[in-house]
Amino acid sequence: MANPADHALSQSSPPLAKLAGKYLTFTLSTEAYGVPVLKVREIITMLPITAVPQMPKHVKGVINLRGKVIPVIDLRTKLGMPDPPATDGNCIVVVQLPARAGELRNIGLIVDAVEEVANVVAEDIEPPPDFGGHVSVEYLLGMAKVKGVVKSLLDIEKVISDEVVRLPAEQLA
Amino acid sequence: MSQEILQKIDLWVVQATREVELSEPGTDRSQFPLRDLFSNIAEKSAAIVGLEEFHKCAAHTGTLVEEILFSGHCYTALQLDTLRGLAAQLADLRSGDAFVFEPPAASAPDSAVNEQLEKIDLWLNQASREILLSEPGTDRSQFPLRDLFSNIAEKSAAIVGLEEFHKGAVHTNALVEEILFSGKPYSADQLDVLGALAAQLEELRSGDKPVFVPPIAPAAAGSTAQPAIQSTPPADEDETTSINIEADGDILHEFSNEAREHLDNIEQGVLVLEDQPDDAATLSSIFRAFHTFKGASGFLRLMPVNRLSHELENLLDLARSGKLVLNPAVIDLILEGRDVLKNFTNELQLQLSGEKPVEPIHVPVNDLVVRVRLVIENPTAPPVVASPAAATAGGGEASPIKPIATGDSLKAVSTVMKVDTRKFDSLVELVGELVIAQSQISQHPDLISLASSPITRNLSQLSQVALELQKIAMSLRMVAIKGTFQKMNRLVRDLNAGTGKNVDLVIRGEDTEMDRTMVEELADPLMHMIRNSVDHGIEAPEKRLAAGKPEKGVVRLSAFHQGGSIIVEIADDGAGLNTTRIFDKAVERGIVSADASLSDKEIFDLIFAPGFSTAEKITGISGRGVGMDVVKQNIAKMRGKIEIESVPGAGTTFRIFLPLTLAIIDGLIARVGEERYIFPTLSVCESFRPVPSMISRVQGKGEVVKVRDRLCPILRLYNHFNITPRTTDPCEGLLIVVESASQRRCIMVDELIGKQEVVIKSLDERFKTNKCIAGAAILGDGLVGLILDPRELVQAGSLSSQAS
Repeated sequence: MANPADHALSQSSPPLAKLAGKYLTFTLSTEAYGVPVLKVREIITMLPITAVPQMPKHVKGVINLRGKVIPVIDLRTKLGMPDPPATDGNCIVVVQLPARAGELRNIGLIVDAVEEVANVVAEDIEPPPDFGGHVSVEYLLGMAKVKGVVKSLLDIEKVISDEVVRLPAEQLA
Repeated sequence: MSQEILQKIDLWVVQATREVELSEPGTDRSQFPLRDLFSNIAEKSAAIVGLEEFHKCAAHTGTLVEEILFSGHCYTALQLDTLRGLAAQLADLRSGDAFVFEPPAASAPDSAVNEQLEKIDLWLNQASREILLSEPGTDRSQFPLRDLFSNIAEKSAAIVGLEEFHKGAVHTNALVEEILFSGKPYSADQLDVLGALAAQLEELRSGDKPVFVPPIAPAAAGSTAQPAIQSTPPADEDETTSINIEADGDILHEFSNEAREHLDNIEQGVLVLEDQPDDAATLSSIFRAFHTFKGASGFLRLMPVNRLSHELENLLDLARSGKLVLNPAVIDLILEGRDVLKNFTNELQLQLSGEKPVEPIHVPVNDLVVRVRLVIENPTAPPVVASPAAATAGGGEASPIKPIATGDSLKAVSTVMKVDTRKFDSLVELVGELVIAQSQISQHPDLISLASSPITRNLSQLSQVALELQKIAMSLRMVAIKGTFQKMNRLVRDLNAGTGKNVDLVIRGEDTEMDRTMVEELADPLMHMIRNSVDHGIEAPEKRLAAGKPEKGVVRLSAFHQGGSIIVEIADDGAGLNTTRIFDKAVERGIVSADASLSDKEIFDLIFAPGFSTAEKITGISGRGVGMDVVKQNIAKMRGKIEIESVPGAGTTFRIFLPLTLAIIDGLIARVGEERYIFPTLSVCESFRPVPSMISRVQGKGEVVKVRDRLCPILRLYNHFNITPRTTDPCEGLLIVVESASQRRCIMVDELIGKQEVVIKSLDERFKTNKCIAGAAILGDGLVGLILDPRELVQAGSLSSQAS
């Protein structure tokens, strides 16, 4: 997936200093990730999910979020990690992203466990490596060191918008 | 969040204060920015707790600034003083130095009149000076004079004690306008008359003279009313107007939106007046609509529009005061004017939305303005009709109009409120959730086992309130179909003129309420069907008489509730559908084969086939080939259906069945494996459990089942959706027969588990790839169920049914 040419992408990505701020960190498999806390709307415990047929494998279906029907994506599957055993710690991070026409849409992301809200300062951020862990470099904003642990900062909009383009043929279950 | 808003408000207040401080009497530069600032401040502060008084003050200031801005005049010293006082008070209220907003003295009711009087005096003064300084042969002061006098006339209308003065001002204003619109410089006589009028106005104002005496028209001079009209050059004035989107974009948008509403009101009102020419309330509302139109178009410098609406306003004013009889010719004139304005508004809308390049708009008003003026000049004379269109409407049986009570019109305050649809949608969503939460609590085993009567009582109270709330929330979407029905009145009226037929439209149940979007969507199909009914349904008068029917045909348009749906009926008393002709036509068009044997009903349904048009000759009104098939599609889009009933010689009835609302559907909930799917009940014909002998495989069609002697293909839903069912044998599961666009299909599910009204929720973009899913709904247990789309189901996945 990730080859050195991909690195060129990071040059067009925002300057690292701009990435400083608060991140919600969570774990997927053995790795730690962060998303900008301003994009997070809320965190809810696992709910029964209604599956939608003929969708890519990582699109788990829809849930009822106080009267709104929102899609739920399994972030592990999406990022190419092995299927996890469902545990009690699993939860859904609801992020809010701009959709068309200035409206916002909510999307639920299933993660293994939520850790904390961490304040990431500019000095602790490094550009994404040429090939990082499990995750394709294009989904990464950068790497941050928080209390001695490296966390990957996810470009969540890219993770989510990207698949609309990729549909429908590629990933049909 | 609110901290941010507070900061913004503070910034605006500082800016506004600075603007006010820097403004000088006699300038108007800062009026626009100030209006924006204050309206922003007022808007943002409305929702903040602790800023109530501040908000009051801001709103008050905003209104004042708007008044000044719309007056089109520069600031006066007095106005600026008031504004400064208000700005200072705003700052005090914000900082906590003051707690209660005290409206400045000048705006108390009494002093409001004083302020008006002051303005009137100022204007009158200016006007007299302008007249004095004007010389025959010039026209420079015509525009400002017209503004001054129209302001004076307008302001003085509401002031007690100035009735005679007002009369004088109106008269003077009319004269000035006449001069202005004649496009000619002043004559010496005109200036004399104006001077005399101004002097008289001053006397009236000071009380030296009690009664206004119109100057005697100097017949020889040719300067007043009638002769001036005759000399009006009909085509000299500019009929084009250009818009400045950059500068006026927002206002133009607002204008165009409001204009549409006004135009609709005008049209409906005029049609009412046709039947009841002395309906004072309607007359006043049309007059007001034209008046607003005039004001706004003048403000935006849309001069031709302004001229036309002005003349029409004058015309209605005459009618209002009982000096003009609203005979059909006059009504036609008003409708014609309304159409010109409507065309302009449409064009404006297109340019504003960027669908058309911005270019000057041509508004053909000159001819019309002249004709309107002729009527105004000679209100009692038989209508002077210049237009061929108006001539067809028949003679004017002029009946004297009763004096009109104008009291009602003042009370007509709008009871309608505009609401942001997003806010509304979240209200409906939350109410839905409340009802679900409520039912989950009420049915909770722990509570049921409590058997405590106060709790039971409270719970039942809660459930009643919640259900009532849901009912109201749902009904907010509903509007009466009146508006759409009334448009048909106009249509039939025009059709009568166009076809030479004599058809009455009888409307019933126009107060029937239905979903707002549906009312709009219904307009086009209805229009088409009514055209058909008048054009094809109703016979020509001679034929009707020959058949022993009254000469006048009747089309009945009615709406009513029946069962869970709304029914809209279009019934004519015409010749009925000609089955032979329809069948022949269908064969000719290749829609059916010549040897098909069809029931009457099936033949009727042929007219819904694409490309079918029975009109033997193509008239301008119907028979253009896009026809009933589009009607049927539109109705299917609203999840409705249409039926035809026709008796030869007695007429045809089209019956449209519509769901109560687009937001809710009646659904059958079916289970496949662990999943639940919702079928819209309206498209489900029946469901049954087949026996093995009914099922067979047909080459090229896959698996089929024989229902009532017809073969119907089967779609195994678990197969199509790739889920694990409880059974793969149709004889152990259930077949649901769905129909869409005359196609049927048996959908195999495990079982039916219930019937429920569900609120439709749209799904995220990404799910659009599965076309069989129309949406989602929240079921009674709070979980999401998916709504299936019958249109797709009947076509989808013929592959997977073969694969099994």
